[in-house]
Amino acid sequence: MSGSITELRAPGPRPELAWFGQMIPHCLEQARAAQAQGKPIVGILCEFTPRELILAAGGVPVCLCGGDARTIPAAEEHLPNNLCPLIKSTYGYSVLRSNPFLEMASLLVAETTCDGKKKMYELLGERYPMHVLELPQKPHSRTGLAQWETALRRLQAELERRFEVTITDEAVRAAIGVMNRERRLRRELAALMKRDYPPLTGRELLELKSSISGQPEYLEQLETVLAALKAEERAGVRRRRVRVLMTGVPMVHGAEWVLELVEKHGGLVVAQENCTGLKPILEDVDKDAPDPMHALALKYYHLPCSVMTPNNDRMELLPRLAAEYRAECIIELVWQACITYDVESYRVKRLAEELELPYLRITTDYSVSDSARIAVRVEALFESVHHGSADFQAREPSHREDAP
Amino acid sequence: MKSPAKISLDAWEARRLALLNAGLEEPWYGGPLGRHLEEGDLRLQSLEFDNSTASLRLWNFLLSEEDRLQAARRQGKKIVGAMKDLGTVSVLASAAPELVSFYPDGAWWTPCLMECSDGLFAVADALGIDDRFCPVRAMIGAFETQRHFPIPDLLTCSAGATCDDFSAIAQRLEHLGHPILWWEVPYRRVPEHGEEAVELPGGWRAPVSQVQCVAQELEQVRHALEVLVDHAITEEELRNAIRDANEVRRLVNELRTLAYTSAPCPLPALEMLIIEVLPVHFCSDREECLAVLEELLKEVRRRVGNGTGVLPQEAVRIYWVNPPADLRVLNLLEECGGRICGADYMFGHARAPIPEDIRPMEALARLVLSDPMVGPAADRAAAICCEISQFGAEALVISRIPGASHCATEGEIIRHAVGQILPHLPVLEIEVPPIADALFPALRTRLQALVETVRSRGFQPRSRRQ
Repeated sequence: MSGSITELRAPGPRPELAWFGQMIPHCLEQARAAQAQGKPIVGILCEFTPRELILAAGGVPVCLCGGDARTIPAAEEHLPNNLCPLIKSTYGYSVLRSNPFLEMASLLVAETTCDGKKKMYELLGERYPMHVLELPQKPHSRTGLAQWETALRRLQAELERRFEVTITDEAVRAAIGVMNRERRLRRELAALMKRDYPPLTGRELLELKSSISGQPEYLEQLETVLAALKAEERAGVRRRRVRVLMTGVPMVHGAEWVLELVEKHGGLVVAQENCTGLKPILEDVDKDAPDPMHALALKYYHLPCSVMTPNNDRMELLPRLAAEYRAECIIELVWQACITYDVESYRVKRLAEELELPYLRITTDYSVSDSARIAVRVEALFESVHHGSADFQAREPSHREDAP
Repeated sequence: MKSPAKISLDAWEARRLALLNAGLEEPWYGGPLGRHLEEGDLRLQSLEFDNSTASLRLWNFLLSEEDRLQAARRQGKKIVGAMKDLGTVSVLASAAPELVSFYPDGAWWTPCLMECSDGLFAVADALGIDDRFCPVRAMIGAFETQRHFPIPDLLTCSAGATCDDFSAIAQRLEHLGHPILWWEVPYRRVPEHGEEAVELPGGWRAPVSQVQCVAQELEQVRHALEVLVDHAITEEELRNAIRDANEVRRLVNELRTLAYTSAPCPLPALEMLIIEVLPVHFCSDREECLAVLEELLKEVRRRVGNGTGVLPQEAVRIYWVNPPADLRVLNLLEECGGRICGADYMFGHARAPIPEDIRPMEALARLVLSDPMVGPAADRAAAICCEISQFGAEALVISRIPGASHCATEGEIIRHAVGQILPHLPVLEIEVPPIADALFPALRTRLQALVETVRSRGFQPRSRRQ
């Protein structure tokens, strides 16, 4: 799948994005530098963990979700094969000792989300220091929120104990400021995809997400790119493509192949509802709230993840995104054996029908062995979009190469 | 009096007639087991049953639950479907005489009993819940076809530390037009140093904050039950309900101790499995459940007293983890020379005594958190090791349920954890689908190998009650 970004681009590679093309080496450099300064590396495994707390403790939060198919066979020595590839890949890194961030980590913070992750953490916890956040799963429940706040305070205490620091309200507020800035920048970059001619592909936008949050250099790079893209009102002129709202499982670093395939076959992913996309950055934390810990709890408890029961918030978010980004179809990605997203896809399909948007569910794993089959289905979806859109021909000639 | 033995369905027909002629009096739900076969429970003809009248009553009690629920509705009672809590809401509901609760999740055994002639899996398939999911997906088919239980007046279901596939399936059920009252169960964690904690039924500990959280959630369930029948459930009624539930649990525990420690084995594995399920929801009739258990206990005591049993004295003592989706597998284990000496069928908390010396709602909350499935698998493994020692088991079988998100990973962790505590204990991990016929040759070989391994190691069958 490598090289597909440049195949998509009409005018050629954007120099502003060059720094992000080396994201992992940059992150590694940042992590090593931080460690040399005595800052602890803290691995996180899901978007429910407030990075703010880790930053406030003087730590460096690094996302450890695995996106490499090559680590899966090692994981399957301990884990059943009918487990989602994200879990297996993440765990496989630990078996192979091949994720430098994991090996550098002084602490892993995980959450009680899905069954597979919960059990994998038990095994991972045998080899690495681990703190598991207790995530209640009934959204909008007052008792659940109170439990979640307690869980965050336990994490705070654990960070203070382990790293011999005091996490003050001021430090938390400062970290909230940093993370709000990061979320705002990523939100504004994502919002550029609302344009008639978005300046980026979905794949390029995804590449702007860092494994390490809150680092000054990263935030500066985001600002630079944002300023450059905002200045180009007609930037990103490219062939007319079908505007896709992508939803479902996260596409972590190394596991972007489905998105690449969608864009290679005539789509432009204008909105990514998932955890590597918009879902975690749509809401900020109230920096001025009287109790910053309560504010953190409020923000993170509302992530409309499929582990929530019932997860109605996602069904409210999707129509909003579809309208804002003027999606012409919905593609849902489900990693094999991800039960919660798999079952929830039934509701998403019905929702797409209500929205009168063509819908395609892709169930696959990290292997690209079924890419040809998926490509055919994607192309068929796009054909149905072209044929189904009465005004499409009138608005946009289908063979038009570039906008003026 | 016949000697204890395992007999076929056909043999039961003849034996029952003889017993009737000799004066056997049956309860209203009694009758030939063969009638259940005619109603579609095809698997019965492949099973072997204990030959006691107590067991006949047990089977008829189990297989007549739908009739009981329909009768309750006709009497004007409200029916509560208590999903995914395995023994708490049923206690709560039993506090109000106008309520009867049942366990819709129990439909997961229907495809096995009916050898898939029920079409429940096909309905689930059509709704997108295919065989990648736990066989509990049959429940959604049962709701759609409305043929296996009456549609409840109220459905409750736990969320949170509930297994993913069940939670997802229950959510689908709600979207199909069956509203659900969700209540949260947090993932049980070890109390931190200095954190206020309490002991749970079964021996684990949990932070007070978690107990309080569950108690609040259960209050919502209690309120919904009260609204349903326009009856404010008093503390006294709750205490009585807990006391009565504990009586059921006491009988089950006594039966377990006798059945799992005596030699020869006084009651087959299949009947013991059903006995272990009963405290979950009393099979919709707590009073009758007590009577069934009392008769069984009397029979088992008699057999133990006489030194008689249903299996050879030298049967290898096996501890079994997780309920097998195909009931026939428990017969198979015994055919291979094994016997069950202890089991963790995932609902051990349903037989743990509920505290009677604290506020009833807090007692029930503690019970919820003692569910082996809502905490670390290592906790469960430690409890399994404890029972292995208590019952003198010589080997362990971990029986996975295909598609069950919880089982998939937990099996490996339990095997690993048990290996650390009891390093010399032979462990066999198998997967049992709802109809395992095609796998029987392989399962037979593997179970025989396990039995032979134990024997070749020179373990002698031992008993605490020879």
